Amino acid sequence: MLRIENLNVYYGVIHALHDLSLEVGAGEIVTLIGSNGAGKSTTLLALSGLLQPQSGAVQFDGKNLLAMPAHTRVTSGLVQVPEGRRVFSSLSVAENLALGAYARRDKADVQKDLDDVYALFPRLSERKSQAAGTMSGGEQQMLAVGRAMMSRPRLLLLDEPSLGLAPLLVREIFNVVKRIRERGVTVLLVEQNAHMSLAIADRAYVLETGRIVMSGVAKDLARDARVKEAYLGA
Amino acid sequence: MNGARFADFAVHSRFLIVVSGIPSPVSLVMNSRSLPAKIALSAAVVALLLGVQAMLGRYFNEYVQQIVLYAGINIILAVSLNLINGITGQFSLGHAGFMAAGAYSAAAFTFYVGPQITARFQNEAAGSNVVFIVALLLSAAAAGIAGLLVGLPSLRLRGDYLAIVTLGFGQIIIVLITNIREVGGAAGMTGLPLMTNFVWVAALMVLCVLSVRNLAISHLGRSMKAVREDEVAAEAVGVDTTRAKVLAFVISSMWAGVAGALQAHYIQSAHPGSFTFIRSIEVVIMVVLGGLGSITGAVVTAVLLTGLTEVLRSITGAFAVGLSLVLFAAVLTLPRYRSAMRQSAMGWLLWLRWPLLSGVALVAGFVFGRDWLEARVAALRFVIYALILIVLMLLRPQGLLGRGELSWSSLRRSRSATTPEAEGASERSEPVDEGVRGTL
Repeated sequence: MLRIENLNVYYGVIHALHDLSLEVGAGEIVTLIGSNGAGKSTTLLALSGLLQPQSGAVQFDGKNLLAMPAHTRVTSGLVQVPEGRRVFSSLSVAENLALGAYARRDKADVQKDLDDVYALFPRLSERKSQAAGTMSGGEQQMLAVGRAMMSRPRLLLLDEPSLGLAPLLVREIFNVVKRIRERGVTVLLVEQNAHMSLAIADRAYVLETGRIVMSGVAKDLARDARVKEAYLGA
Repeated sequence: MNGARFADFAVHSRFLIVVSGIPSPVSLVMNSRSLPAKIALSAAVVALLLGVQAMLGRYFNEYVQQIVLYAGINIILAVSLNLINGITGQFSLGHAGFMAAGAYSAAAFTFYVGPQITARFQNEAAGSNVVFIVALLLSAAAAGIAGLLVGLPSLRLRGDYLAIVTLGFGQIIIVLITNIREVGGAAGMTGLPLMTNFVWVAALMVLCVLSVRNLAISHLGRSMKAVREDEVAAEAVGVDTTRAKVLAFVISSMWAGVAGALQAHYIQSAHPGSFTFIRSIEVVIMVVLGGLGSITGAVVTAVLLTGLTEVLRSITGAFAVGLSLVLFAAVLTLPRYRSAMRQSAMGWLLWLRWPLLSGVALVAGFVFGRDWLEARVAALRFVIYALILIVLMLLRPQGLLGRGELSWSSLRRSRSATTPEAEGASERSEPVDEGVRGTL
């Protein structure tokens, strides 16, 4: 579904991504793990079009993704939940969700998806008219995911969904990711929390200072001695 | 591909309907969507406007009429600027420039082409109305094109940088019109026909408020608010942020152009001096003071500030303004002292010390310094005006209405919420859609 080939990104003179290649197949949960500054968020920014890579190719459903402007990538089914949630803080929950469906043409199905999101996150339906900025971090994260779901993604890019959340909420968010996959959405999950993300992912890539250093089936990686030492704290 | 193009077109044409403000003004007032009801109501509104116009002419002198008309023009300016500065969260300092573009294009039309058109009509009044309608459309078009030209670079600029670009644009317009001899150059254009009257101003003002309100709660308006809240997130949900910003600029400047045309055909002249950046700042003050993003706030402050400059001309007026400001300050600080007041009488004094002191000072000044002040109040007018702005901004930095709207439903809500804390909370969490619904 998504194929990245030899992607290079520079911030000025800093070479942030070195020939990064990875692949996500339809229906998979693929996780990209790595420590701070490894280039995880950079990869996602390049995918969603908020950052221009210097070289490389990205194909999404056979189309050249890099040629599309950011807002049309959303309509083609590639939707990002940005790092740090970035909800529209003075707008209500309902308005945030409505904005998620902003770029859609099939207005008839929007209501159905809205019910779906409220079923996925009952908390949000309790707080429809609350200003998003006044909710807790976990609720805002759910809203950010719900907003992305309103765009009917086929590939959902999740950037550090567990960032700054209490352990119980982290578990809840990861459960939600699994349920989203059950609805037929492919997920590319970028995380520092390697433990949790390896537990729910099918395959994983390990990113270190801008290079993929390991990849494979998530369960195998979780047992790998090097991964354990570097990321699982064991 | 074709299908997508068509869908895109459909979105655009729906936006036109929203902008024209046609679908909902009637249902807004009486919740009825039947055609006869709409026609009846529109007729009633027109009759009402004509009635008010007749009354204004009969019972009020020209001075009062002038203030009313200026207030209406200022409402159009403030509400339209609110679309850029409040709803889309950009910062424009060029509203007077767009006004000038509209005023001069309309003035040139009525001056050079107008007489020939009027001559073809049997009825002179009908002819002049036709000319004015064309002039107004022309002013909107000219200012809209200017807005497009300024809006396009704004896609790369934010905040201060955009403010500087719009400021520069305002200066360019002034230099431009000062150097075109056909429109009077530095001396301005004089001898324009008197075409603006209360009915025109009121009708266009209502249309402006309704169209901006409809836009604000529409799909497109929501994307503008998304740009204001977080541009990256807006981009992430698929909002074409450039399009949202440019459209806000174009629609807003179209209305500024209309306001300019109305002003030029009321004072019967167009002069570069009336469109300097001071004028832009005046409108920015109205928008900020009313609360960025609040349409009713813009309306209220446009009226208040228009009246204020006039009222401050006389000493009694200045006194009344000062006194009401003191009362206003007292009411605003009331919640802070509420718990202290419950405990002791000292709590009351604590709350009232500044209002009391300034009230006493005001009365003393009025009683003892009347003659001295009377001679100087006209000169001190703008100092007092500035002082009032400072005090208001200190007391209520979020603007009179914040981001909320004054509407029947919001009044009902605040009556049920008795404690000030709850009121404040409901104001913050209030969904913008619901607050706007039922405005007017």
